[in-house]
Amino acid sequence: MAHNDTIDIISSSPEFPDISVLVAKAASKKSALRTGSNATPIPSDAVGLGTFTSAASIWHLSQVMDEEKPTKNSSSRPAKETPAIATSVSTVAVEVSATTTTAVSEEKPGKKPRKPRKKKDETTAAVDENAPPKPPARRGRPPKQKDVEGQPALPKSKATKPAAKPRASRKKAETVSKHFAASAHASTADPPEEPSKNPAASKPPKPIPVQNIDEPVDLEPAARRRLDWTPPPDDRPPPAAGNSSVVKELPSSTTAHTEPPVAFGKLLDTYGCEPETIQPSEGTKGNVLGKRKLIEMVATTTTTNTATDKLTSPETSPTKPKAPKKKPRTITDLATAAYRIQDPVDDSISTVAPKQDTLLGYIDVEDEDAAVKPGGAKTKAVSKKPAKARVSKKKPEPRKQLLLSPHSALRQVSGQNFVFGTSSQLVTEDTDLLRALHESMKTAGNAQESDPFMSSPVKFSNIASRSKMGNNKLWRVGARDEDGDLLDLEIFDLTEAVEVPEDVVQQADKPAVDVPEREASPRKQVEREAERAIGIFSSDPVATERLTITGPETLISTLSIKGKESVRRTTKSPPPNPVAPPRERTPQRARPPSRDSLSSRLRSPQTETSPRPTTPPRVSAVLDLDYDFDDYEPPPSNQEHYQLLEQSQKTSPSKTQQRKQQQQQQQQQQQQQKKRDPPPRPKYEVFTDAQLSREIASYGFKPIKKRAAMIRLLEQCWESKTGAATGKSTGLGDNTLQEGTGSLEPAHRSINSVAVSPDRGRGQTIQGAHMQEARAGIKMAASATKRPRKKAAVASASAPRTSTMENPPKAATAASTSTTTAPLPALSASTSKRQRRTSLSSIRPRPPILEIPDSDIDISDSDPFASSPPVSSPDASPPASQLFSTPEKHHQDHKHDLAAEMSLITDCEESLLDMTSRTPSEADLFKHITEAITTAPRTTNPSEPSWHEKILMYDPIILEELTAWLNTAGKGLDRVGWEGCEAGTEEVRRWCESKGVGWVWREGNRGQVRKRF
Amino acid sequence: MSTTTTQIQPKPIPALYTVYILRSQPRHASLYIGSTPHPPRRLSQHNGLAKGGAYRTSKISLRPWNMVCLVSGFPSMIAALKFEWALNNPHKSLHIPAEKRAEAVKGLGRRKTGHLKRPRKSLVGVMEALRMLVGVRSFGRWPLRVHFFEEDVWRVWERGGWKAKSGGGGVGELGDLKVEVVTDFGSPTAPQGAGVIGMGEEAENDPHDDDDGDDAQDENKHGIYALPLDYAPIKDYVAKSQEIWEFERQGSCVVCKEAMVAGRGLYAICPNTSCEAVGHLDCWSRCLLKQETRRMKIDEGDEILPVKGECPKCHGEVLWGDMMKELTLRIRGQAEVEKLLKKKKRRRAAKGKEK
Repeated sequence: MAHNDTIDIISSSPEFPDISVLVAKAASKKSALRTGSNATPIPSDAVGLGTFTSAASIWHLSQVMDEEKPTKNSSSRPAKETPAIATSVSTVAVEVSATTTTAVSEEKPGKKPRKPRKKKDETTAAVDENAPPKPPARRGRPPKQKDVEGQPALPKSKATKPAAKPRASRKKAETVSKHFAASAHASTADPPEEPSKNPAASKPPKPIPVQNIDEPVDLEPAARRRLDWTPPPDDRPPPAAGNSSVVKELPSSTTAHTEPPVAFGKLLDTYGCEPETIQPSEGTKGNVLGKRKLIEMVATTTTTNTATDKLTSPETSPTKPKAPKKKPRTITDLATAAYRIQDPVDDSISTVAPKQDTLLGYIDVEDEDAAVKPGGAKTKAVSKKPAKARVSKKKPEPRKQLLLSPHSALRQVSGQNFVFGTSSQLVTEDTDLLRALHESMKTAGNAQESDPFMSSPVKFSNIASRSKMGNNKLWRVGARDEDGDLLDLEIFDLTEAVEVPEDVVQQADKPAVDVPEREASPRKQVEREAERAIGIFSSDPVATERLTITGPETLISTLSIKGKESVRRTTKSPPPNPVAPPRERTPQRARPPSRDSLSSRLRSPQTETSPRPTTPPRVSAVLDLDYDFDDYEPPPSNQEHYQLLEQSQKTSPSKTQQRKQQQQQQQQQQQQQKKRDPPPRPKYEVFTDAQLSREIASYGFKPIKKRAAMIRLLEQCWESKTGAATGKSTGLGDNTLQEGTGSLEPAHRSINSVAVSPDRGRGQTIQGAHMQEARAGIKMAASATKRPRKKAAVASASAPRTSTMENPPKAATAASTSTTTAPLPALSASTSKRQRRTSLSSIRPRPPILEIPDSDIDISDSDPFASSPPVSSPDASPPASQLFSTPEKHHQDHKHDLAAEMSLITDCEESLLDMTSRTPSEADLFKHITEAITTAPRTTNPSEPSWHEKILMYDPIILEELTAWLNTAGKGLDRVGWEGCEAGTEEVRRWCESKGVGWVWREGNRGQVRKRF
Repeated sequence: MSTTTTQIQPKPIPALYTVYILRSQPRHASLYIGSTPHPPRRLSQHNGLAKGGAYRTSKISLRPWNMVCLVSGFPSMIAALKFEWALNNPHKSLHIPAEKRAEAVKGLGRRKTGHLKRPRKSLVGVMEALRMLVGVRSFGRWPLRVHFFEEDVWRVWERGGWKAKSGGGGVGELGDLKVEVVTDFGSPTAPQGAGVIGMGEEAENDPHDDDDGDDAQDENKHGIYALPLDYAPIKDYVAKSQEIWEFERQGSCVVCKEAMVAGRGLYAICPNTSCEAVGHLDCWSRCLLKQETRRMKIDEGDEILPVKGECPKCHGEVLWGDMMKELTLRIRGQAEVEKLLKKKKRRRAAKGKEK
């Protein structure tokens, strides 16, 4: 039995299971291998292991040593060496097999005694010891030394392994001897897993070993294996090649990971015999593998590469080449592959795009923009250079990108404008016009925002603008009818008057793409412009361009249309305004072209030009689109577009630039003049109450009882308008009253109406307004919230999203996003729908209206409104002071006035007012609250005590009710003569706490209505 | 007046509503803060003698619990709950000035949710918070009264008092108004009645209201068991007011001298037994507030809630809390009044008609 059985055992099961077990137990293959490599134990446990090691070792032994003992000793060690030796092993496989059989038979007897020795000598330590030697074994050199040393030591090691393994192994061996196949399979399975980590080849080895095991040593089994594995090998023409591949892989894997796999590989090699020749083909094999398996193969190759790298075994090197052949793909790579630009240009784009996404990218863009414009940014040169390169690359290929990266998609979406209206309205109204208006608006208003890259500053500006609630809100509100509808009539007039439709029609006629482009957010337009300038085309914009035109945009669009025409006629090339800061670029750019057209076509080009600067860029974009690209596609990324634009500006012929610049300057001057000479404020004092109410209604405010309050409100509205755009400012107040006035006024009106448009993202121009709004919103949230807090949380959550969505490009900076989000929640928090509506509406409309005038004025003063609002103070202090600062001033200075007005407005609820006046007037407000409560008439019905009496009786006060009462005209604060903001629940709460009044929210913490006190 | 929009029928000011501090007898470091209108019942719940204890007090090893301190006089359950929460969360409560809160928050960790961990309750900390809250604007004008039933706890409070006095921990906000402190240590050694600081009246802890002597552990009723659980302490007061209104002796407002029509307004009555001064609720409040400003030598007070003062007629001291308790009981708690006066009837047999 011993010899025969031992032989069988050695060949098949006992060895494998041991190895596998060792490997599996060892967790890390290396360790297992090492242990296995120590091999001495392995042979003891399972003959098979011995065979493995023996096979390799035998080789070495055969080559070097013929002695069994040394073979055994060496076997484990040689096994370590196997990786290096593998080739030799494979070559000699047949001989090895024979030798192995004999050797094994001989070894086994020797091993067995040794095994017990190992057990006795080394139990656990043996494994550890084994582990260390293995790595050297893999390397190959150490094993020999070990052999020398190991022989004496071997018995110990052998003894140790058996101690740990042998027990199990013996059991296994017994069973295995009977169930060689099964055990062998299992063992094989284990090893293949290990190799599996390596290349796909790992799979094949598993079956092979089984067959091998079953079939003692004959070559035939190898053939079967090949057949089994054939599916993968089938790809590879010759079965032998498959074997070889397997063998090769195995060695690699084995070398890389552990000896046991090596042993398998060796076995396979032995069976396969001649793998070495095949090895070179391995790489081809990997390629040959089916697609399905390819991925795995790739992964495995990568792993193998890494493993091989780690191990640095000679055999592994061949595997390594495989890996390089197959480009390792990660899931992310696959997922993002669609977004990658295929061509080298694409590569550049791709590189650019990520930058865009990142803040750095934005900064770069900005810098570039700045560089282009007067105020050079920090890294102008650097940014310019890459931008140019990008541009060149981009131009040819951008069209390909149909898929947008999430970032870019979000940007586009954010940039999109939505036109609201019935389908019939949308149809009847010239969509083209609307789009054009949108574009113009975007360019003008968003020019700042439009630069997504500008994002951080722009965002800030937006935020800041929002914070300046008052103006924006007023604008927004003003742009809407009492019903909350945008004032559309004016828009039509403008478009017609402007003749924009023609352009639009032309554009529309050309390709549908144009329309989408028009629709596309200002950013897109800008990008397009840039692309045009650069000559780059982008197909993507279409999807993004679905955007509908919103009021503000429409207004701008009208302007832009005019400008477009002129621009088109004048120059197709995008006019970059080096002077204008990056954010402002677009507007400036647009301006120069637009100026011609605008000046000629616009009724009061100069006067109105202020908003146009923003429009011109859009116009230019449109022109670019029309002329340059019917197929126009949005550029891959906004940043790219910006860069392109910048580059284009830079690259653009100096003549055109100069012209444009000159024009821009002229326009700016004109605008400035306009700003400086704001339209006369209508004398509201002269108005009749009906007129006043109408005006207020035009702003979207609900009727106010007091005439004085109405006048104040109107004045503030007017101021806000003027602040935003001087021309418009009058318009707002005038819109209703002065509808019949010159064409300019209608334009203003239209602008106003447009302003109503929901686009917040464009608010950039209106940034100041946005800032105000944001602040106001925050205040609102803080002041008005508590009741909403529960719900507000949800609303806020949703709100921030919306805000972010709306201002995605802006959102680039976290801070900006946070700020933006904050106001929104506040808005959401606002208790009354009206408030929310007003806030939202205000936000929407404001940007356009304010933007245009502001932009004009601001632009004239300093580069772009965009920059001015956010960071405006540094860049364009004058404009900022006028436009944005003015709103701020209004806030600060006129807080009380606003508050009073607001309070007067019945409909306007606390939130709005609250924002305006808190801290300064709080003490005053508290006094008034106290007065209002204490002076209220005492009740005549004990069951219905007055608030004062309730408080005196320690009744818990429901804040909402008390607040409502305080804000009730004729009863609460109004009666006391309080003209500040309405009291918010938060203020009332604080008042209650300052007075020791017990208060509660109407709803409990869980939203239930209180049933008891 | 939209004031009446509350669909909830307000209740009279409860006879007793307290926020109490439980301390584990076996482990003094374990504290629990709760609120109840019925401390004895609640204590028995905490100690497992009745159903409905709190989980935190259910650990047998910590039982029995003692009510070492409680604050009474809350005008409503909501008020008590507010106070309880603030006392439980001094690190969060907005009633505590931000500076103080910052101190409390100093060493606090945060939970996974990002919320500050509640500071571990220590007697000193709770006493500090209690002292602060009792003097804070939002609670300081409530007719609160702090009871101590364990001397060591009271001493901690007193020690904190020094700090508070020196540091002005909240108490200073209300000027001379200071919380009434009542000590009832049950043992003869302890001073039975109190160190009332600002307010003179200490009537409530008198052991002579015997109604609720559920299970008086110690000598007849002391500690929480001596607390009046019903309106008995103002029985005479209520009876007087009932009599006044029954016989329409209200006359004219003691303050504004206007005639008062019964049932056509809210009229407060002087709580002093021999005084039948009646006046409009707001007139009373203004009168008392005026006195307060005078007392505090402040030109103008913008306070709404009076705390105490002296009756313009009898010049006896009146506590606004008591007056309101009677008033609300009269206008909102007829059932309670009847119940209260029935007993009265038995004794006095005079007031057959309540109301």
